[in-house]
Amino acid sequence: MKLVPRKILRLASPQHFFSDISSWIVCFYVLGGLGFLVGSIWGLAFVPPERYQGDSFRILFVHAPVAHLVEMIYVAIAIAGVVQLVWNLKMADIFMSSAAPVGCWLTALALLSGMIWGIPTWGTAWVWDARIVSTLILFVLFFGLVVIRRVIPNPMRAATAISILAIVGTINIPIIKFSVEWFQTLHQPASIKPFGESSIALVFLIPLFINFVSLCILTAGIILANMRHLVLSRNSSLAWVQEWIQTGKR
Amino acid sequence: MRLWALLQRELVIEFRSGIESFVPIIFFCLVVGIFTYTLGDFIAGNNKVLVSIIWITLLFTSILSLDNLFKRDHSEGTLAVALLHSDAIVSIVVSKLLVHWIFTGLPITLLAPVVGLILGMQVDHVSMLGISLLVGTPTITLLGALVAALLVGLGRGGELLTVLILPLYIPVLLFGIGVCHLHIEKAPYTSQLLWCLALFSGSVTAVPLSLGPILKMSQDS
Repeated sequence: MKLVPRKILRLASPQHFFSDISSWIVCFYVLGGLGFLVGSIWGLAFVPPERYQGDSFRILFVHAPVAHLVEMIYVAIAIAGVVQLVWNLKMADIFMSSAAPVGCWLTALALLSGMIWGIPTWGTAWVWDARIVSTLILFVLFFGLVVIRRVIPNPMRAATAISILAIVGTINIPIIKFSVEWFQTLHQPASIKPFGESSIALVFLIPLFINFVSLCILTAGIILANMRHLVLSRNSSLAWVQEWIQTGKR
Repeated sequence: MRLWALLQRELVIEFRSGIESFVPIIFFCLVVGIFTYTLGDFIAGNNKVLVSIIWITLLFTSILSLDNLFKRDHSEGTLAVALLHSDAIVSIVVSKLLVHWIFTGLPITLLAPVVGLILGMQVDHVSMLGISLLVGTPTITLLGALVAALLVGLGRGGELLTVLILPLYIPVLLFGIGVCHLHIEKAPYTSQLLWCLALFSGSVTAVPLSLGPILKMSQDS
C-alpha cells in the first residue's frame, strides 16, 4: 500500500518540510553548483570551437539548459496548480508562489542569453520569431503569476487564481516546444532528440548534459530554499515557528 | 426554460443600456481606422497586414469590454444572490457569456469582413477572415471571462487584467492570423484551422463549468 515513502509524505506538512528539507537544500546547492562549474569550465575551455560559429557558440551551455528548465518549471507550477485545486494542499500553493519568481528570472536569462548569442550569429539581437515570441509570453505569464499575489489580498483566493492561470497558460508550452517545426523560424530546430539520431556531436553533448542536470539540481535547491522561507513567513504566528525563532531548533 | 429567462434578462439589460453597449464596436472601428490612416499607403492592398490589424484590434476591444462583464452584477449584489443557487450557476454564466459575445464578438465578426472589403481586401480572403473570427471571438470571450472572474471585485483588477489576459490570447491570435495568412499565401491551412477549433472546443467545455467556483471564491474577500 505504500506508493510513496513515509519520508516523502511527511514533507506535505509545512512543519516537517521546514525541518527535513534544510539538509537537502545544502546537498542540492553543493551538487548543482559543482556540476555547473565543471560543465561550464569544460564547455568554455576544453571543447573545440564550432565549425561555423567559432567560439560564440559556447553560450549554448547556458542558453539551452536554461531555456528547457523554464518550460519544466512552468509545467511543474501547472501540476502544482492542479494539486492545489483538487486537494488544497498548503505546500502546493507555497511551491507555486516560490517557483514563479525563479521561473521569471530564468526566462529573462534565457531571452537575454539568446539575444547575446544572436548578435554574432544572426546579426541581430531580436527577431519576431515564433519561438522567441512564445518564450516572451512565458515570461509575461510568470510575471502575471508573481504579480497576482500582490493584487489579491485574500491568500486562498490568490492561490486559486494562480492555479487557474497556470493551468490555462500551459497551452503555451507545446507552442514553444513545436514553434520551430510548425512555423518558419530563424531559430534552429531541436538538435537533441530522445528518439532517433541527434545532430550534435558528442564532445558538445557531454558538457551540455552536465550543465543541464546540474542547473536543474541548483534550481531545485533555490526553489526549496524559497519555499522554506515562505513556510516561515506564512506560519509566523504558529507556536513551532515562535519556538524555532527563540531556540534556533525544534 | 431557465436559460431562456436568463438570456432575456441579459438582453434586456444590454438593450436598455443604450449607447453604452455599442462602445466596443465604435472602439473597434476607431482603432482600425487609426491604424489604416497612420499606416497609409503601406497597407493599401496588403491583405496580410489588414488581417493582423483587425485581429489585434479585436484583442484590445475584448480587454476593454471584459472588465465590465461581472463588475456591475458584483457591485449591485445580483451576483452574490445568483451564486446561492449552485445548480443554476452554469446557466447564469452561459447566458452572460452568450450575450456578451452577441454584443461584442458577433458584431465584430460581421463587421470585420465589411471593413476589410472597404480597405481593399479580396472577397475570398475576407470570407476566410470572417471564418477565423467566427471561431476566434468566442474563444477570446471565454478565456477573457476566466481572468475577469478571477479579478472580480478587486480595485486594481482592471490594469492587471491586460497583463494576465494577453498571454492567454496569444495562441488564439497566432492560429487565427495563421489561418488567414496561409490562405492568402495559398498554402494548406487546415491544421491551423483545426487548432483554432480545438482551442474553442476546449474552452467552451471547461470555462462555463469552472466560472462558478471562481466567482464563489470572489465573494469571500
